[in-house]
Amino acid sequence: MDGLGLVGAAEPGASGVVVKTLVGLTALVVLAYLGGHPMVRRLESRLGVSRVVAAGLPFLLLGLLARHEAIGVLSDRTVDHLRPVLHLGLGWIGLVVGMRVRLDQLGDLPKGTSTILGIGTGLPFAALLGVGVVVLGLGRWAGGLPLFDIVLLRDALLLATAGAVAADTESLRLAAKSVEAPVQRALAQLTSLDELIGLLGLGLLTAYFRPPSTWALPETAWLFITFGMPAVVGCIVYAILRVPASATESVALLLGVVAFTAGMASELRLSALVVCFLVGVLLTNFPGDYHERVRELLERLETSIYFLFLVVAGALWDPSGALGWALMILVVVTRLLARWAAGRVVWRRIDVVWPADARRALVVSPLGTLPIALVVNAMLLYPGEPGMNAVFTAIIAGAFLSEVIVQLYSRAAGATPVPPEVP
Amino acid sequence: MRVVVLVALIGCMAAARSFTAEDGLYVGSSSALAVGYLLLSAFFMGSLLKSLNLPRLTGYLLAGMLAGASLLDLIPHEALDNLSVFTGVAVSLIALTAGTELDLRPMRPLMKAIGWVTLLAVVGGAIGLGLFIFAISPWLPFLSELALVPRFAFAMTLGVVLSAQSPAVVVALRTELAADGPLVRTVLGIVVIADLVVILLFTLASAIAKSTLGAGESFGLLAAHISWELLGSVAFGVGIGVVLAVYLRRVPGPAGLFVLMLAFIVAEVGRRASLDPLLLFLSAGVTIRNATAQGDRLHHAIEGAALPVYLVFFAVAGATIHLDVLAVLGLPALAIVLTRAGLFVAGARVGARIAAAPEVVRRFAGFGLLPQAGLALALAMSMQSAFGELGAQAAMLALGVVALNELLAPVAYRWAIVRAGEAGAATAEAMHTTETTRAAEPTRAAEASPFAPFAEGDPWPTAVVSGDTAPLDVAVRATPSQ
Repeated sequence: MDGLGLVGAAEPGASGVVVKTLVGLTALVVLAYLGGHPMVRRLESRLGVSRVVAAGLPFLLLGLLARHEAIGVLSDRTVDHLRPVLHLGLGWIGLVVGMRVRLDQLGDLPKGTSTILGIGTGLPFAALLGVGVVVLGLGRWAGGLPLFDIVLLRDALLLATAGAVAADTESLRLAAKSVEAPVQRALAQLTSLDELIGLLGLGLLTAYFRPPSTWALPETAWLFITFGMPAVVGCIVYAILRVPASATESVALLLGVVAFTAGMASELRLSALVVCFLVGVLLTNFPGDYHERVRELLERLETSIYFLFLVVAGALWDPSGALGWALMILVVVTRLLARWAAGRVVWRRIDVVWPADARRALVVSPLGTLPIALVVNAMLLYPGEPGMNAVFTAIIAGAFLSEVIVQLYSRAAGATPVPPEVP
Repeated sequence: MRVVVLVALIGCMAAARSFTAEDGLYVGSSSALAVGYLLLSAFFMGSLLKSLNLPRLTGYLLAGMLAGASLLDLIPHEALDNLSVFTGVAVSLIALTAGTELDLRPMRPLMKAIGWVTLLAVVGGAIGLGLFIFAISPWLPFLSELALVPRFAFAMTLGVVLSAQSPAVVVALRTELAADGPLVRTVLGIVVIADLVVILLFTLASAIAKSTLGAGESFGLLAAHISWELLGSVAFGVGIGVVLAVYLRRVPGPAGLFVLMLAFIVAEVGRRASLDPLLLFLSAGVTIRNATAQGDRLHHAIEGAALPVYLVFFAVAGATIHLDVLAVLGLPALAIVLTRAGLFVAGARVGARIAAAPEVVRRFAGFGLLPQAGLALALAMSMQSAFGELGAQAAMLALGVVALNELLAPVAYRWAIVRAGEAGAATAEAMHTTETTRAAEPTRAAEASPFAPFAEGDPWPTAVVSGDTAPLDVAVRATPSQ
């Protein structure tokens, strides 16, 4: 409120705080300035790191830097105050993904979809679950924590869910650039379904791994709530979005809708990502003339909200543990090997012939933004646990690494570098 | 439909409030839920009030009040507290908006009126209010037992607190009505200057009151503290203005997200360093508008984010109003509200007459001084911490006055703007500005920047602008084709 600074007496050691924060402020402004400078953008483009995931790296580092003790811009209190941004970001991502799901198009899935997904995603999932149990178990053992704990299973399941999915990104399309359009479409459909599986996996996790609460319900009842709440909120949101509004009002309403839905889900300790995804599925399949307007607004603000989300996620990230980095390398390698092995099995079992480039694109497919959202959501639901932090590091760093790998693969395969992205 | 949606939202909030996880960990969800609820309920309440020919702003405040602890208690106290970061950014953006609107060149002819009205209405009003409170002090339990001199000094301090205005409400109403003209320009100038004057007066009055009560810090320390706060804020603001101007000049493309991040960081730094974010960003805005060529660009960048920010900001202000105070101190609070209004309207009328200001300024400028919000609340809290139990009871009275003013004053000022014929006057001029700005920079927005999606006016490019159809939806967002 205006003038509140007047009554806020300087905190203890204010002069030190001022110096530190001014240094931090200068560093952040310089970083932001450089991030927006055309020369830096051209350099990013030349290095092939200008995809949304990779372009988010500076924002993640910005959060990490701002939280650093020597900088001190983001104190514990401030980070706590910024947590709502994470819920908003998760809700936004969920709604964007959900609004892409047209139920009437599910009948056009490529032949052999269930086998490709069952084995192509199932095998990496199983392999990553095994890696997760072993590595996180070792971490617990080294930290003197009990080895046989349901938390270990939960963390390993999360790692496997987030690490197994493929994403329909520009990089994937680049890797499969030489194949025909129908195959490219099928590839996009398959990876989109992969993301849905990841979301449903998180939904199951949050229903069955819950803290005790004032609502004493069995876990399966929470599963019903996970699917029932989006139906109720979806109807309210449907009514809201049908109200005539100017463009400015539409933005305010959309922000309100996402914050409300995500906040409601998180307040009940459900996944904001999953609930907003399900609301998005309902909204896109309900009748009305709002679909394009909402979709356009969602996409227009998606990158900004995602970057802000990464700044706060960066502030929550503790990358100092070696376990997370080791897990990251194992995740990326296991995922590649498992997807390669799964491919060998799948294409022998089904009666469909895909070009080699498309099959290889599926193997090297990047993690994308959704796994990052999955682990951030899990961090919010199960805060302050060492295993969760290792999973966080592994998936965040793994997402960036997988993006670099697919870019390198595309270059080696002779594909034209992707032009600089306008977020 | 609006009422049905409001009831459904309230039902969902009540359900969510009944759930508590036993681990008691803070995950930030209640704040996210509060933001979402306040955005939606404020929007629909504003829309309802609009259909009754009342300001939407009052609807935003009512939505907050309904959700606050005094009525339905839908939002936990800690969630409201956690929105202070949001309100810090909101204040910064509002101050930056006000600063970029303070183009000193066209305001020069109004300076005489601004000076006289500030002197007579604001300073005179503060003194008058102090005298009134002193006069009714035998009926105010917390003052009646004080000796005459400390009672007088304390009454004068309370008078200063209650004379505070609200630049935020003035800017918001101006934007809501797309208003422009001598009245809104003069009022904006007065409330901005009055902010400085009230802070200075409060410092002086509270120091004297403390010394009469035998509990004051040394005047030198106090003077150093206030000098740092005022001069430091202005100096840092000019610096921030330079940084922003350099960014806007050197980095092509939209700048909304950069401004947002800067506002957040500076608000945080300011809080820790005892700088006033309002003054700081006001100085930054004035610097950019008057010393650089980036004023329009910055103005458009901020305006894009205005409606969501205003909705939450004023709804949070409404939610923090203590309606229970009115039940206890309603009568004296009402008397003070009426006296304050009388003093301001009369003072402004006399001041404007002396300065030979236009007729609309003479008749209506006083109404622009009535809105009250953050500064008065902040000063009341300051009294509470400075004067202990005595300050706490005075703060209760101040909260009651602010509550009434928050509800009534925007209605009065809206009426004044409409009667002055300045509602909607910004439309044509701003459309012209947009056309020339866009024609001059046709390729900029196409260039990539990590801050691109918060393009100036970009996500909101096609609003049909009128004071009646689009709240806070000013004309600069209209496309040239319209």
